[in-house]
Amino acid sequence: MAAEKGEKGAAAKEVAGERMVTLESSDGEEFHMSEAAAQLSTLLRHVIEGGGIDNGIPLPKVAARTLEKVIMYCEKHAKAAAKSDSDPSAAAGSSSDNTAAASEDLEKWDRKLVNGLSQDALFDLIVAADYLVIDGLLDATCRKVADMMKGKTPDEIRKIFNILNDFTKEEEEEMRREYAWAFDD
Amino acid sequence: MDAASRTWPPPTPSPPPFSSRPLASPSPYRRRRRHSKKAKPPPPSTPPPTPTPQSADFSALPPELVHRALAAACASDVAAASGACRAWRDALRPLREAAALHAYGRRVKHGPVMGAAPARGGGVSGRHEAERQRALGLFRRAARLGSAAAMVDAGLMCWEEGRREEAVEYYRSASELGHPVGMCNLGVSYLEDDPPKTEEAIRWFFPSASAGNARAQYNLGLCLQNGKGIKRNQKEAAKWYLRAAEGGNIRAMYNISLCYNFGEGLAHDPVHAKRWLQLAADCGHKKALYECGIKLCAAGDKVKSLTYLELATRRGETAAAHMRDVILESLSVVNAQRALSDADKWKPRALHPRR
Repeated sequence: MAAEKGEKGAAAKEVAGERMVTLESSDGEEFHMSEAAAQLSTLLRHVIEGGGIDNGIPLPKVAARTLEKVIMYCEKHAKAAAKSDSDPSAAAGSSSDNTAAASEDLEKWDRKLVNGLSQDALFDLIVAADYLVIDGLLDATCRKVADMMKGKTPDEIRKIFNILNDFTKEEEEEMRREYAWAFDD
Repeated sequence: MDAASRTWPPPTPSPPPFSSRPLASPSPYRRRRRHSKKAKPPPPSTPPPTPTPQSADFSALPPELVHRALAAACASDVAAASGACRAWRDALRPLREAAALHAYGRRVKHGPVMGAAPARGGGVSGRHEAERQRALGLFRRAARLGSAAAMVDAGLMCWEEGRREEAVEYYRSASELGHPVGMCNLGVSYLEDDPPKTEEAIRWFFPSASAGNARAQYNLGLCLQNGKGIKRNQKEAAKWYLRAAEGGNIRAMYNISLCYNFGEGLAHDPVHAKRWLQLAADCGHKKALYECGIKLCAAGDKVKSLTYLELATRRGETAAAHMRDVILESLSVVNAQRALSDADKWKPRALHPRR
C-alpha cells in the first residue's frame, strides 16, 4: 500500500517547480497537465481542491485526441495569464504593450486552434469544454459554429453540419412563413 | 470575422475507430501508459466493427450550447438555424422570441412618432418619451431571453438616458456573448470613464476590431496613435484606420487620408490621400468638407468651394466659417445663391450598410 501510494503520489509530482496533474482519457491514455492550466477548468479545479487526484483523474467523457487539444488550450492560456501577472508594477507603457499585444496574439492562437479542427473534432471539443467547464474554450468553439452558419440557409446549414432534416413539409412551410420577417433584416 | 463568408469544407469521414495510431506522438503532454494500474476487463471477442464514416451529430448538441452559439447571431441566422432540425428549433425558441421582440423594439424606437422632431410641444414629447420607454422595455425583455443584440440596444438607451452603470452591465453581457458592437461599446465606456480605463478599453477593442467592427477598428487606431492604453505605434494605427475606413467608418477615412498625406504609418501617397479625403467629405465629415473646400478654392472653383465650406460650417467646423464668408463676398449673387442652394440639396453619401 505504501509503495503503491508513493508511486501514485507521483501523479501530483513537481516538474521544474510546477505542480502537475495526471488525466486519463476515455480510451485509456494518460496525459500530464500543469495545475495552473487545470485551474482553467472549473470541474478540474474542484476535483483538485477536493484532493481526489492521487490516482490521476479519469475523464470517461473525453477522448485522447480531444483531451490533447484541451490541454493545449489550457496550457497556452495559463502561460499567458502568468506572463501578464508576473509583470511587476512596470511602467504603464511597457506592461500595457504586453497586455494588448498578448491578447491579440492569444486571440489569433485561439482562432487558429479552432479553425484547424475537423467537424468531428470541433463537436468533441465543444462537448469536452462544456463538460470540463472551460468558459474561454467553450466561447471559442461556439463562436466557430456560429461563424460557420453565418448567412446560410437551413439547407446549407444541414449540409455543413450533416444534420438530418426531420421536419415535415408542412412544418418547414410554417417556419418559413413565420420567420420570413427575420430575413428582411 | 471578416471571413464570415468562408464556408466550411464538406465533412470528410473520420478514420474508423480502431485504426492504428502512429507510435511516435508529437504532443509533449501525451504519455503512453507504461503498465496498467487496475485489472483490465478481457478484450471484447467480437471483431472491430466495419469502418463507417463517423460524423459528429450536431443535432445532438446540447440545447444550451446551441443557444449559446447563436446568442450573438442576427435574427436571420437564428431563423435559419431553427430550420435545420427539430432539436435546434426547440433549442432556439427563446432566441427567436428575443429576435422578434428586439426587431419590434427597433421599429418602435425608429418609428413614425420618434421620427418627428421631439419636444415640439408637450403632447409630442410626452408621446415620444412613452415610445422610448416602450422600446426600452422590449429590448429588456429580449435581452432577458438571451439576445446579445438586444442587450446592446438596451445598453445604448440606458447610456443615452445617463444610466451609465446599467448601460455598461448590458454591454458587458453582450460582450461576454461575443457581440462585436457590445465589445466596442464596452471599450468606449471604459475610455469615457473617470478616470479613463484605457487598458481595459483596448482589451475589448481588439476582439471587436478583429471581428470586423469598423468603429472598434477606428478606436483601436486612435489609441495606438495616441499611446492610450497601449504603446504608441503609428504603423499599427494606420493599419487599423485603413480597415476601419474600408469598413465604412467616416472618421477613419479622414484619418487615413492624413496618414497618406503626411506619410504617417504608411508611405506618402497623395493620390490615396485625396481619394479618402473626398470620400470622407462625401459622407459628411466636417473637417474633410473644410479641407476639400480649401482645395477647391485653391484650384479656382469658388462656387463649389463655397458649397463645401458652407456644409462644413453647418456641421460645426468653425474654422470654415471665416473662409466661407470671404468667398461669399467675392462671388456674384447668382453664383453665391447657386452654391448655397447646392449645399441645401446635398445629402451625405449612403454607404453600403455594414453591421
